[in-house]
Amino acid sequence: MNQDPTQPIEPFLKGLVSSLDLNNKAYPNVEAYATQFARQLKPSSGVVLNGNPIVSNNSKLEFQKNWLSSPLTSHQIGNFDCHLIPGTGTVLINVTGKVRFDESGNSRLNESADLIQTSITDQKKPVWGSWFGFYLHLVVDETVLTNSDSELINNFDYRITYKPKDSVVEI
Amino acid sequence: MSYRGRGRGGFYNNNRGNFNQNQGQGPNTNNVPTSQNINQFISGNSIPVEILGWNGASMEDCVKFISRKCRIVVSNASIDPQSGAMKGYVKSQKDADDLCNWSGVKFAGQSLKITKAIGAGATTTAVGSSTIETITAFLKSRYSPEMKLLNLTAVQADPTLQSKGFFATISTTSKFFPALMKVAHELKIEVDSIDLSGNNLTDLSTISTLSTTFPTLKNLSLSNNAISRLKVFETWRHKLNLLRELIITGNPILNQANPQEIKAELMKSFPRLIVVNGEVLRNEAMLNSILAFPYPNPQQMFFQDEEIQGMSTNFVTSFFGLWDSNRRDLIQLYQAESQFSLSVDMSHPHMLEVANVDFGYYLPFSRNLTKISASKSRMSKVCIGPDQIFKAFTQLPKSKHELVTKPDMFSMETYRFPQVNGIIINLHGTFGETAPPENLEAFNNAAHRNRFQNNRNKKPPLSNKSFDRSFVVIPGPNGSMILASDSLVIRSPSGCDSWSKQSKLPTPPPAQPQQQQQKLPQTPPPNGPSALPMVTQLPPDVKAMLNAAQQEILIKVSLETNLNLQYGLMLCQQSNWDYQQCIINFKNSVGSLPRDAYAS
Repeated sequence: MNQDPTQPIEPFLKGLVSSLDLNNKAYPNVEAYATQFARQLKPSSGVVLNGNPIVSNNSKLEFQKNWLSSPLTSHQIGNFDCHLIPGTGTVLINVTGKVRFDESGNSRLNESADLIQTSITDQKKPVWGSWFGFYLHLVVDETVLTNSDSELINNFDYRITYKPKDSVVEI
Repeated sequence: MSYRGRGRGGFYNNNRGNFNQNQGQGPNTNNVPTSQNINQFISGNSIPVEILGWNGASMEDCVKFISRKCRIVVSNASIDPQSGAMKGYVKSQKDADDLCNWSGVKFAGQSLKITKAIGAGATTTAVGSSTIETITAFLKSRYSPEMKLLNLTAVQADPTLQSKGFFATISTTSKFFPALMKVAHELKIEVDSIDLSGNNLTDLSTISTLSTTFPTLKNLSLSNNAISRLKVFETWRHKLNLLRELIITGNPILNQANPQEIKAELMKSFPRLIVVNGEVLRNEAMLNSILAFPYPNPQQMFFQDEEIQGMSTNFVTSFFGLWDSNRRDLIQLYQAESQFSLSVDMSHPHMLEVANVDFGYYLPFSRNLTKISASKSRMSKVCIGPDQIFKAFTQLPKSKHELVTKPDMFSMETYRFPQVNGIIINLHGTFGETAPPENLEAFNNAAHRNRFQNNRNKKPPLSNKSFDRSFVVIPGPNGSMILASDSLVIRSPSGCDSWSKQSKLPTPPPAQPQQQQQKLPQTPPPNGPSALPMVTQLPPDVKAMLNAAQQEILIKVSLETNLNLQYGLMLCQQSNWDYQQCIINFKNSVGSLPRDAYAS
C-alpha cells in the first residue's frame, strides 16, 4: 500500500454525523426531513442504540423514525480510527466525540409541549444542554473509499458513554 | 466605646453596638452571641473555651487583652449567667490548647483561669454546638419523610429560632438559609417538595443554594413572599431541572409583570415546569417524550444471540485477565494480518471531579485520525502482526479492569460479522493504571522530541481512564480464537451513569406502607356512609402539626378527593390551606397522581 486509503473516511463521517444534527428548516415535509438521517444505512443494517437493537425489516426507516423523535442534537467528532479488514471488503470505523441536546422543550419538528402562547418563546432557538460523550462503531463497505453517499453501512452501534449530571434530557 | 462615628451613620452604628453589648451583659444573655454563632458555623466549627476571673474589667477588655497578649482571638464571647464564666470560641484545637497554657495570666488584678469547655457538660457547650443542633432539630421538625416534604413556611416566626436570636440582625438572617441548606445537605434527607411560603423573600439570593442542595426538587411553593422582579428566577435557571410545580401566589410580581411574560420566563428557567399557581403550562406527557432520547432505557449489554453471548463474555473475561496480568500470553491470539491501534480522545466529556488526566504514555501511539493527516503516520500507527502488537502492548501502562468484581462499570455490544464468520465485541468502561509501562521507549522518544517543553523527565501520574475497545474475533479450530482487529480508545474517566439503571428520572415513590398514619383507631369501611373521617380520627402527630381550621380543611379535602392522608396533607400545604385552591390544584394534577395517592 503506497497510498493511504483512509482519507475519504473523514468526510464520510462528518457527513454522517452532521445528518443526525439536521433541523427541519430546509425540508418541505417530515418524510423528506427524516430520510436525511444517516442516509448511508442499508435497510438491513444492524442498528443498536444504547444497547437497544432496532428489530425491523427496514431498520434504516425505523432508525430514521426514532431519530425524528429525539431532541435536536449537536455532535462533535473528537477522534476516529479505522481498520480495513483484508479480504472482507469492509472497513471498521470507531468514532468518539461529544453530543448535546436541545433542552428548549421543542421537538425536532418544532412541536412544543407548551399549552400557552408566549410571544417570547416563538423564537424556536435551541437551548443546548451539557455535553454527553458518545461512541459510534460502524462496519461499512469498502465502497466508502470511492463513493461515500451510497447505502454502505452494515452495522451502526451508537452508545452514550458519558452522561452529565445536570442533563434535562433523559437517555 | 467612643462615638467616633462617620457622621450620623457612625452614631447610629455605635449606638446599636452598645445596645447589643448591653444585652449581652444583661440577664437574658444568650440572644446576641447565639445569633452570631451562625457566622461561626458557616466558617467552620470552633472550639469553645471557658474563662474565669475576668471580672476586673469588661468582657470586651478581656477579649482584647487575650488577643494582644496571647495572639489568640476569642470570638462570640458571652457570659454564663449562672457560673459567671465567660465563654467564647477559638478557631482550632491548637489555639484552645495554647490558650489554656496562658491560664493564670494576670488580667485587671486577677488571674485568669482558662479551660477548654469541651465535654464540660451540656450547659457549657450548649451555646456553641446548639446552632447546628437547633437547625437540625428545626429541620427534623419541619420534614415529613413520608411526603418528602420540607415545610419551611414562615421560618422567622418560629418561636424556637426566634428565641435563639437567629433573626436578630440582617447579617444572621441572611445566613440562616445557607446554614439550613448545609445542614440539610449533611442530613442527606430526600426532598421532593419544599414550602417556603411566608418568608418575606424579596429575591432568591438567600436561598440560592437550594438548587445545589436539592437539584432534583419537584415542587416548590414561594407563595406569600415579597418577590417583585421576574429577574430573580435567573438565579436558578437550568439548575432545578426537574421542577414540576411552582407556586408564587401572593407575591407583588403578579400585579407588576405581564402574566404571559412571567409564565414564559419561568418556563425558560425551569425546563420541566408543568404547573404554576395551579395552571397547567405544558403537556407533561408530550414534554417527557420530547426531552428523551429515542430509546430512553439504555441497556448495559447487547448480544445479538445466545451463542455469541457465551462466547463474547468468556472471551472478554479471559482477555482482560491476561491483559492485566501477562500480556505476552495474549500474543497467540494475533496473526500476521491482525491489526491493533489505539487513539486518544482528549476532548471527550468526562466526570467533573476528574481533572488533569495525563495521556503521556498513550499519545505516542495515538492514531486519532482527526489529528493525523499525513499518510505515512496514519499507516505507521497501525500495528500489524504479533511482534509489532506485542511491542506496543509493553509500552502501555499496566492496568486493572474490574470486569468480574464490578461488572456495572462496563457495557458491551456484540454482533456477528459474517464476512469473516466472526463476531464484533465493543466494550466500554473504566480501568485503573497500576504501574508504568515495562518498556518506555516510545514515551522517552516522544519526551525527547518535546525536550524544550520542560517535561522531559516527568513521568505521567497513574490514574483511572475510560476506554472503548472493539475486537473482531474469529473462532478458529479446536476452540481457538483469532483476533483480526483490535482497536482501543483512551479517554478521561466518564463513569457509568449513561448505562446504569439509577440514571433514570426519579419515579413516583413506591407504595409505602402507610405506617401508623393510616391505622386510625376505628378504620371505617371505605366509601360507606360511615366513612366520613372525623377530625378526632387524625393521627396525633398530624393533629399536632395543624391548627383546628387546617384539620377541618384536611378532612374536607380528603372527603372530596378521596386522597389518602399523605397526599391530602401535601395538597393542602401546597394550596396554602385554601379549600378552593386545593380543589383546583387537585383537578389540575389528578392525571399525574399515582394510584397509591388515594385512600383504599
